[in-house]
Amino acid sequence: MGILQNISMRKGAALKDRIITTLTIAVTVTVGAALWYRGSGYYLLSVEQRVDAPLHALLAPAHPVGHLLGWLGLGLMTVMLLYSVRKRVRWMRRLGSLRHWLSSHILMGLLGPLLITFHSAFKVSGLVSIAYWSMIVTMVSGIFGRYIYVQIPNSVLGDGQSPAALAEEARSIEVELERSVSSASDLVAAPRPDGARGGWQALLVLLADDLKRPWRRLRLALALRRAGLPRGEARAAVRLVQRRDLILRRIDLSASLSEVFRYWHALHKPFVYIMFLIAAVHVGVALLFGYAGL
Amino acid sequence: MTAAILLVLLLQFLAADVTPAAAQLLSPGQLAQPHVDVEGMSNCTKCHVLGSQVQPERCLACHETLAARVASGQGYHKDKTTGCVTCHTDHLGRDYQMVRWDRDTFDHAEAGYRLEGKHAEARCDQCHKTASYIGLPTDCASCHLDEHRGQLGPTCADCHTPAAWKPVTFEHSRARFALVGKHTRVECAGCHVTETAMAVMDSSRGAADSSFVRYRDIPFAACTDCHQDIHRGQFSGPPETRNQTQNRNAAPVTDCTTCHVETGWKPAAGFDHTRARFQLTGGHTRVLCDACHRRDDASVDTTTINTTSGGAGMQRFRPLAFGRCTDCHADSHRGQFPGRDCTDCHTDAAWKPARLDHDTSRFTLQGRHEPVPCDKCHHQEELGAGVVGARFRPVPFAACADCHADVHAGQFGVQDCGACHTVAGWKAAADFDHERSRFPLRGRHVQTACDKCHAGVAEGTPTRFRPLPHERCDDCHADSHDAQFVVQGRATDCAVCHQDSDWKPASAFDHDRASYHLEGAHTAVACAGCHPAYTTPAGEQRRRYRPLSTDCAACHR
Repeated sequence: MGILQNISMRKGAALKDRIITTLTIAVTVTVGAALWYRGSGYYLLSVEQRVDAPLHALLAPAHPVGHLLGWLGLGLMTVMLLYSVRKRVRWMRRLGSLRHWLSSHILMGLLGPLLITFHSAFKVSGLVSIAYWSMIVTMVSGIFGRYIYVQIPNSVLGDGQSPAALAEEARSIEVELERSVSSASDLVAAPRPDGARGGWQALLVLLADDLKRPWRRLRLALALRRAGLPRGEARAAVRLVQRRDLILRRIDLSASLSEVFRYWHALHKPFVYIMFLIAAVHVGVALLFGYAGL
Repeated sequence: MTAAILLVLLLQFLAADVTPAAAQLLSPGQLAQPHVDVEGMSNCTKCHVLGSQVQPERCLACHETLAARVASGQGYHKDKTTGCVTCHTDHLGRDYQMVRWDRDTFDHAEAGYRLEGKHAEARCDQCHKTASYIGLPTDCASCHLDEHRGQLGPTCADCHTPAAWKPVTFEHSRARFALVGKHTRVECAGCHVTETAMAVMDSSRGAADSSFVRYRDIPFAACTDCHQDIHRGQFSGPPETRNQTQNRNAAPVTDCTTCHVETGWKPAAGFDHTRARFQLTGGHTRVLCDACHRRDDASVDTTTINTTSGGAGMQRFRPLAFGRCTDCHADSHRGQFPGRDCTDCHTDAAWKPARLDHDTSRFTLQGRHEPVPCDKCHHQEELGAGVVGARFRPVPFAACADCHADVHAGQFGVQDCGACHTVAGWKAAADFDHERSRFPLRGRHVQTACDKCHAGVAEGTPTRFRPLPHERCDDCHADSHDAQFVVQGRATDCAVCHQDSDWKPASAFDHDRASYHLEGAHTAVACAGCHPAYTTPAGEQRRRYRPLSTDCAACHR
């Protein structure tokens, strides 16, 4: 299998990931936009004004639509927990790929807080506000965790390859680049690894590298064109360089980011517990005082 | 493990005796200020029913006043079925106003009292003095000061409307004193005066108001209960008819309506002078009342009199002397007729003409004296004390000259006019006989008008009677012959040719006495045939008699 074929295969997997990500974002944004479109006239009012607004009878937390949104949000976030169960219960490993469970976990992890936010009508106070902000922290944490998680080789969302396999792929790309871009080999030279880093330092490097990447890609494409490479060859060379650099970065930061991810996990879970614990009290009180129905 | 620890901590927290602030952890928000006393976790079920949210029964358990009104079907909440929290949401903060409505669109009729007129313009807090809007009584006095101090009872709507305090819809015909005539145009305050009473706190205005208008217990049986007796007791009735309790302004009087009516003080339409002791007849019926009933003085302050009498002073009606004419009338004759009554000569039909019979006087009017206006003889002159009037006594009348001027300017001396004239007329001189004069009239002289001979010497001078030359014709007549018969400066006597019977023909003339005798055919010739006409230098036509030529050729040519 040639290196380009290998890259092509990876491109298909990345596209699939991108579609799932895009769909997740699209669904979340669509649901959020739709709810905002119908309810912004109410949500933008002060607490005192809301009572007199026509939509109050629907959108207030204890009123039908607001109440429904609360139950849906809580339901999604509860179902979302099945991902953790799926990871830990042996017999559930037969139920779909973990990658899909994680995608669902992410989708519900976005939609759930969104619906709860509309359930709260953008006003939270008291104990339940702790649950709410724990939920928000958990959601943002989840987005951040995913960002780190995909950088780790062999992870569920990673390349699915071992560091050794990735190193081999990087070497293959180097060979291909020497062949195809021999006239400008200095432009496509691999960066030298920076050596061992701490977890937080690796995180900063990762963020900085991702921010710089689009500009680096553009500069390389222009340089190759100035060096006389045809457009198609230059574009192929840029893709190879981008892939090689990504592999080398992941290999370089693998150990450090794995450590960061462990810390993240330790941080992510307590907020989940706090959120569900207080949410349970909130729901319990609501049920106790008769606000169960819609 | 983490979850277990958190759960334990939370349960321990919830089980503790929490402060109201801590209680907010489970509350969806702070309670509004009116409910601050039930803030806290242990008070949740004072409003909330477990499993049944917030039920009105819980609310009404505390809001007892409202509960009573709802139970009795009163007020805005009487028919509300949606639950209290539909309108009165809580847990929205201390400052949240649980009782809220749009004051501009709120239909107060739903509260059981429709706001109309001025009430619709009033601010809520003008009636609702407390934070609670529940259960204000609807009687006027609950908000308004009783401006009438209880005089007219509690049902203000009998006269007033919410549209405005004034004008009132009161019909005075419902009162015991019906307004008629001028009374309908009198300002209310004319009878209903403002009085001062004990100060009353007006809660709506926050000020003490001690004045009010008197509407009840106003005496009205007698006119003088309101009106001042401008006659100052002249018509006071007998004491037994007086009611001092009804008279606040003046002494009791005979009922004013005996003479006056309510349509107007003047004229005193109800008065009939025939009921008076002095009957009005003749000219008295046309005399203005004021002419007899004069004002005594200006001592009465008419500005306080509620009438239209006008002027100053009191008009005198009683007692008023009338036994003698001079009780009212001044003696125009200034005592010329002492002991005589005016009615001897005058009637009450009119002062003039007097009905005097002049024959009863010492000077009987006869002839032309009868139509002579009185003042021709009874001249206006000062009768005394500066008064000018006709002189009746004494008036000399023995001689005509006492009244008449001597138009003959003394030509007849002191001779009595009656020698020639009579009272039948001045001219005609019926008693004059020219035969008794020195020039008896003959012939054409009889027919000659007097003034042909008796004329004034000059215009404006008396007619000349004496002395009047009459010896010669030319004393009166002019010379018609242009001095043809003047001989040696002396005129020939006219009677030589003419007679008194007539001027023509000159019947006394004999041509034979002339120097030229008529003979033959000359006797048949007309005088003018020989005596031609000529024109004098003065332009007068005359006939030539002399000198005249006797030559034949002088006549025959």
